[in-house]
Order: sequence, then structure tokens, then C-alpha cells
Amino acid sequence: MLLAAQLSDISYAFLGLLLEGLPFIFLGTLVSGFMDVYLPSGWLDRVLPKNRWSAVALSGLLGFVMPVCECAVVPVIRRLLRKGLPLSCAVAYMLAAPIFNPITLLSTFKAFENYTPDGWQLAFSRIFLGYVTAVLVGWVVMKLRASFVLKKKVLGEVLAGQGTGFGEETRAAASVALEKENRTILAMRTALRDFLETALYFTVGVFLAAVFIVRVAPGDLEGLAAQEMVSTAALMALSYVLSLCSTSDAFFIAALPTFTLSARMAFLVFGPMLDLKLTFLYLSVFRPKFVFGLGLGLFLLAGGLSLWWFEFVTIDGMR
Amino acid sequence: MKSSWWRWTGPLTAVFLGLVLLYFFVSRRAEVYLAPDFLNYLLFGGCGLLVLATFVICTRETAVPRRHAPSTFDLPAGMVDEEDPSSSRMRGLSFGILLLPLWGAILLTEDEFSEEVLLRRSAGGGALPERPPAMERVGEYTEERFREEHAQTPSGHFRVDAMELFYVAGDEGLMPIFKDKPVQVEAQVLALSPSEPRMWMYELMMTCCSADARPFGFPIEFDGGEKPEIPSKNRVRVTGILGFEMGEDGYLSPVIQVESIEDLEAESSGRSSPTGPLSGF
Repeated sequence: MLLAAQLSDISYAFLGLLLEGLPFIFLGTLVSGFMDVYLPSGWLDRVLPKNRWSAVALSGLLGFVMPVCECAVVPVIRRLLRKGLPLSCAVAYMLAAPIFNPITLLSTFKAFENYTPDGWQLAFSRIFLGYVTAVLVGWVVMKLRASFVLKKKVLGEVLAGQGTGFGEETRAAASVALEKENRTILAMRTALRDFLETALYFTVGVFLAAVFIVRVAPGDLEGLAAQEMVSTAALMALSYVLSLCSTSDAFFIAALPTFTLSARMAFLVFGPMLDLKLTFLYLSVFRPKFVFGLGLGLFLLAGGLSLWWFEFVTIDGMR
Repeated sequence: MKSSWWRWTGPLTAVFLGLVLLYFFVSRRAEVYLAPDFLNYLLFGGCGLLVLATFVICTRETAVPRRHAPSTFDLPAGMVDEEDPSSSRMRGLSFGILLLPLWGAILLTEDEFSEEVLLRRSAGGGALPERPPAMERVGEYTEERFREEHAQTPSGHFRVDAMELFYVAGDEGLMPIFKDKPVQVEAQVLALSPSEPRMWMYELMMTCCSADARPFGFPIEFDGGEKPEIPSKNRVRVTGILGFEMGEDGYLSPVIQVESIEDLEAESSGRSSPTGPLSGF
């Protein structure tokens, strides 16, 4: 009886997360499929500044042009890598896009407008901190070897897509063949393949998240709310477990006013960049060692920046 | 034969997932899993997956050069190499991981959290969701405004919203006007343990989906009388006198002295859906 109730609770949380995320993964993989076929190789590299530091900084802003949530962004960056987007730029875009986009900006403002006279200030603080975190991580990735970051299979795809794996003749022949009428077919097949592969990792992540979610309640952490550092870490851990969508997580955290603003900001910056379901999505592209290092780095950066930011910025009516 | 069967699994898996999404949308079962703003995405995802899978199946005979590394999820017609037993096993495992938890969850779920999880999630009652626009109040709140905004039942009880009472509790401008009013409220109920003399009324709020759903509730008291036998999580209509009390968590909470309680699900088996804070956004 008890086991049946627990399984029902886990199933309820699992289905909620799955039904919420699958449409966005589908959207992301559809975009990635068409991007694979229609976006010329190396185009992104030509468009971005030659200076790699600037290129990473600019990639962090791409979310406003290509707004995607965290579930959809993983298959998209995989394709972008294949199309010649430098790895550091892809990581910066992947981390920033779920926060640095107009939808998240508006929803954060909307969530906090009832709690502060200036919800915009808080919304802009969020996207600014998200952007800074993403770009800093991108700059670090710039110094890493691709073979340390990417899974072997993905690395092979990237090298092939950038021309180092296929001869020019082969690529030209493939291109001519695709001119005729098969581009859409290839795009759709690629989209379906990407969808199934991403959904596999997503399912595992969501299942584990559901197991934890039914055991954790925000109220469990309220005893820590008064301790700045501890509550910041605790809310980031909560965001990792809850795996909320970046477009609406602000509504959740705005409703926990006992926590300090720094702690809630860390929740809003860290959650869209890394959570339990995202960990498994990242593992479809990156090596486990890199994902672990990324998680640790994001935890320290998002937490540290949020604590630092509110030492200097005061928002009316809020701590 | 085996190879041919495997070649269909990718598109058919997508068909299955698309049908699951559409089933939850069309049957309105999704309303207890997703906040209202996410429901249309479900329709989009379900239809999109069906179109994608159908397209891939219909064009299966067209040979297109593969431009990526071999994958567990490679698709038919010119894209699948000869099957070897190990890749078949991997493929079986992958599709199993993709489909079995989903299938199992659909069979096992009761479409709601158990009483234990609901009670645990109700802790920390000071945290409120976004105030719905309909509850915005500008300027001084008066007795006249209260009467204008709340219809009365033939018995003279004011119809109030359970969530509204949360915003009133702790608001010094509103509490004196609401206090001691005869009210009628509809919400779900938890019976609590037999030794507990009160019951607990609540509305379930979700930000994104069922995973973050939290009940916002308050006690109802039966002055001197026994608790009625109403199953937990049923929707009820309570009439009584509204008061406020300091809860154990240090927050002011509404409390209703019950005059009558109706089990709405004894009359109708229809389940209400939780309200979402994104409505109207």
C-alpha cells in the first residue's frame, strides 16, 4: 500500500516533468534537424568576430535572437557545433540562452512585480548575472581541449561536419545529391533521430528528478533562510532537484519571500544552467568529467556572483 | 526480418510518444499535470511528433546519404547498416528506457499526490504564489467593496475563493473586514488523522507542472461536532464563519468554523483541476 502510494507520487511528478519537457525537446530537435541541412558549414564562424574572446561574449547574447529553453538548447548546440560554431561559443550560448531571452525576462518581471516596486530591476539583474556566468564559463572552455569536453561520438560528428573528416569531394557530392529534393527528408530524419536520442537522456534525468522531488519540499529549507551563504547553496541544490523550466521558475521562487534575494537570484541563475534532467541531457553531448566540472564551476560562479551582486545593488522593498 | 523490425522502432516510438501527448491533451488529463500555459505546447508537441514520424515512414524508401556518426536511433531506408546483435541489444535497451518508465507511470499514477506528500509540501505556509490579477486591490478596502465583490448565497453567506483568504490573512487592511463574516468556500479537503479534530481545506497550485505542485490550505473546525467522513482530496463546499489564527509556523492563517460541509464529489465524479499562477499572463 505504502509502496503503491510512493510509486504513484513518483509517477505523478515524472509525468508532469515529461509532459512539460517533451514538446520543447521536439521543438529543439526540429530546429536542429533543419539547421543541420540548411545552415552552411562554417557560416557561424564567419559571422562571429575573429577574436575568440569577443566571439564567446557575443554568443552569450544569441538567446535574444534564438530564444530556446534549457531542454531545447542541447540538441541545437550539438548541431551548431557540427556547423562550425566554436565549442566555447556553443557552451556560452547553451548556458545563457535559457536565461538571456525575452520570454524569461518578461516572466521574471511578471513573477516579481507583486513583490517589489521594481520587478524590471530584478529581471535585468537575472539576465545580466546569467550572461556573465555563461561567458565566464565559455572563456574557461576556450582553454580546454575539445577531446576533454565532448563525447567521442560527438567529437567525431563535429570534425566530420567541419570538413576534417570528409574529403571536399565527398562533401560536394553529398551537397549536390541533397540539392535535388532530399534536404527536407534528411532534415526530418535528423530531427527524429535527435529527438529520440535527447528524449532518452531526458527520460532518465526526469525519472531521477521525480524520485527526489517527492521527498523534498521547499518548506524543508525554510529553517536555513536566514543564513545567507547556506540558504544560497540550499536553493541552488533545490533548483537542481526540482528541474523547473526557466520560463516559469521565477513564479516558484518569488513565492518564497523568507529567503534572501541573493539566494533566490542564485536559484534563478543556476537552475536553468544545470539541473538533474539537464545533467543527463548534457551527458548526451559532453564527457562525464566535464559535466561534473561544469556543475561545480556553475555552482560556485552563480552562487558567488549572486551574493556579490546584492552587496552593491539594492532593490526597493527587498532584501 | 529482425533488422526490418528494428528499422521501424524509431518512427513508431515517436508515434507512440505523440499519441501519449495528444491523449493527455484531448482527454484533459493533462490539466492535473501542467499549468494552463503549458497545455497548448502539449498539443503542438503531440501533433508535431505524429507529423514527423509519419513523414519519415512515408519517405522510408528514399535513400539519403547519412551525414552523422552511426547512432542507436538511426532511421530506415538507406540510413541503417546491417544489424549486428550487439547494436540490436543496445537499441532494445534504449527504446526500453524511453518507453517503459512512461508506460509504467501512466499505469501507476493516481493523477495526484498522496496525502503524505501534500502535507509535507504544505509546510512553510508563508510562501504565497503570485496574486492573480483579479485579486488586485487598489486603494482602501471597505465593507462596501467587500459586498460588491462577493456574491451572497440565499442563506446570506459570501462566496469567497480559498486562495483569496490567503492574501487576506496577515493583511491588516483586509482582515478586519473579512473577519467573522459568514462565508462559503469550495476547495479540496484532507481528512487528516482520526485523532485530529480538524480537517484541512486546500487548493493545489503549480508553477510549471505537477512536480512543483504545492497545496495552499487552512484548517476548518467543527465546533463540538464530529468530523464528517469525507475521503481525502475530494472537493467540498464549506459554509461557516471566517476567522484568523496564528499557525504553528508563525504565520497568520484563515480558519473556518464549519456550519455545513458538502462533498461535491459524492454528487459528481468530475475532478477539478488545479489553478496555475500563469493564468492570464
